Amino acid sequence: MKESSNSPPWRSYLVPAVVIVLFVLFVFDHEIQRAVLHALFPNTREIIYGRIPLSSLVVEHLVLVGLSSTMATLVGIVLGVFVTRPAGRDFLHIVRDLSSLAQTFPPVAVLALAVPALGYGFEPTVAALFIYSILPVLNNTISGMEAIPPDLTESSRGIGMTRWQVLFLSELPLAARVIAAGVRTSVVINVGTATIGAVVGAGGLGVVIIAGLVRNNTAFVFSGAVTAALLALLVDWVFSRAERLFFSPRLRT
Amino acid sequence: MIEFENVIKRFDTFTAVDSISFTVPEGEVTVLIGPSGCGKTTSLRLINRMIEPTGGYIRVQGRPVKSFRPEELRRGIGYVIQSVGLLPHMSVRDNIGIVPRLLRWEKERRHRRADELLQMIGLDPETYRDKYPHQLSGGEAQRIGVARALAANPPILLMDEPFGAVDPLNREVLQKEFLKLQRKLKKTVIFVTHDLDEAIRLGDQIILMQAGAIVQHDTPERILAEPANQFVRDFVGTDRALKRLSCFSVEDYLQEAMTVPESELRQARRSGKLVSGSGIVWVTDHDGVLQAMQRVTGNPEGEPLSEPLSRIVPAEVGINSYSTLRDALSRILGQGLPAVPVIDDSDHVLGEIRLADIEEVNQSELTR
Repeated sequence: MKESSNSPPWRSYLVPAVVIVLFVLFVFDHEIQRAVLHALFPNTREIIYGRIPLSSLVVEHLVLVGLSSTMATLVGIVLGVFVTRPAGRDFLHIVRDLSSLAQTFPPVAVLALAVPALGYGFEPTVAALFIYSILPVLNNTISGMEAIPPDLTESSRGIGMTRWQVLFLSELPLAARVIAAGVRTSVVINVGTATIGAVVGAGGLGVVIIAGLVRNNTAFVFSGAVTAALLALLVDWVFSRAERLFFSPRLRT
Repeated sequence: MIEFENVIKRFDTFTAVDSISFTVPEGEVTVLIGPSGCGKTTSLRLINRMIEPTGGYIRVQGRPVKSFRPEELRRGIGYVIQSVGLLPHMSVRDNIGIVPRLLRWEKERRHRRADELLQMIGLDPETYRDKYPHQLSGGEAQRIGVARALAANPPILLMDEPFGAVDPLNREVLQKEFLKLQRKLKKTVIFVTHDLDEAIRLGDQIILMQAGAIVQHDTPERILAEPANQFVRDFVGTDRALKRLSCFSVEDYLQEAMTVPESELRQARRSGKLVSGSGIVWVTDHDGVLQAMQRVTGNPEGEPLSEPLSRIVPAEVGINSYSTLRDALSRILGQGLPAVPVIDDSDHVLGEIRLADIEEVNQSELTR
């Protein structure tokens, strides 16, 4: 739980700092972007996707991820809490099975199913990503809640907490670490999966990748894929910092 | 005061509590005891409505428990369980202050109360208030569990095998501390245990249960002296005489001890003042702290002493005033002495307990 004591604190920031600098330079500085891509793909004539700048695509991508992940997190936690209550316990198995089932669906298939219902564009993609992101959150919420020793909820009740107080003062704080890990996994995966949104015209970094595939332009595919990967790394790092901030070692149970 | 009137609790077809009635008097410790599945814990949990009875009435301070909201009722009743149930994500101070927090006390008042309670249970507030439960030993956690139960100063305390998970040595310490605390606080305590020695040591009254019914409700002394039937006789076992000694506090059998400051020992011997009913004179420093003992023959003529002065470790030879005659007997036999000193926390001699007196107590039972 302790940070390794023999490395100075700045070390833990070194790699993320490099990633951030690379990311920002590549996305926002056209000259550098051009130089990097030219160096890697000297034979490609059109190396920069001209129709939309990469930076706008990153923003679109973040909106897609942000919206679907926020919804998935909320729904995942609420559903996870519900099925671990006495009232919802009957649904525990069916919810677990359904959510695992949803995970086995390829995201593209979810999209294909969502398009007839919601049309092309932004909404079906958010819907598909949302469904796809629920599982890790839901799963971890259930595990986190079930790992709480029954004695603890029992004694919380015994000292006079209402059911809501038991939930918010003892259960959720205890399960928070596990739930947060689920959210982190979910969001990081979502950053990668969101690239398929481009298939139905939702925008995002997938746009460059698809364009590259269509036109057989590896430079396009590369710039989209690398940007998405760096973005995922960044998000992961932000979450890990947040976890360390909120859950100091004392939370160990 | 807590009253049970024909209380029944059934789980499906199993009757856990079968129409029991009893009254727990104000300010006393009543122990519920019996073999596993006898309904003792179930009875306890009926009081703070952790479970609801199938039939009958339970009243707390004259008011039916059903007339309270369960949470409200529980906030007014201290609850200590074997697994303690401290919240791992809260500091010791916040754990102790949790019931006051539910009762919406102000932060400052909660903190003051937590420090006060830490002091009371013998843990230094400076050291302990900011610790987290995983940094505590089993005994410390259990003490803090008791402190938490006392935080909002409830008149009633429910304790469900609170010392059951603690090792025997620490359990004895916790029991003694509990008695000390109880003498000061005078709570109405219901204490569940399956350990008869604990029941005898702590209980003002014992309710012995079997298969959901009360077999005998009596003082510890009478349960041991006059078991109501064969079940009770079997339950208390064949070493009743020895166990019965646990009913008697050394305070009630304290004899005056002869103490002499070491500097005046020679003087006292010469002037023939070195006599003691028990045959031992306790030698102290000039602050009255026990240092050594001197066996004397009981001959007042001041003849030369054959026995040398022997240094003693007060805690190894002496017992404190919260001990029972059983502790005293065990100490007397262990040390091979005719008497042991009763000492306070700073090793001052308060008196002594003599083997002859213990024998007399036991005789009185045999002739009963």
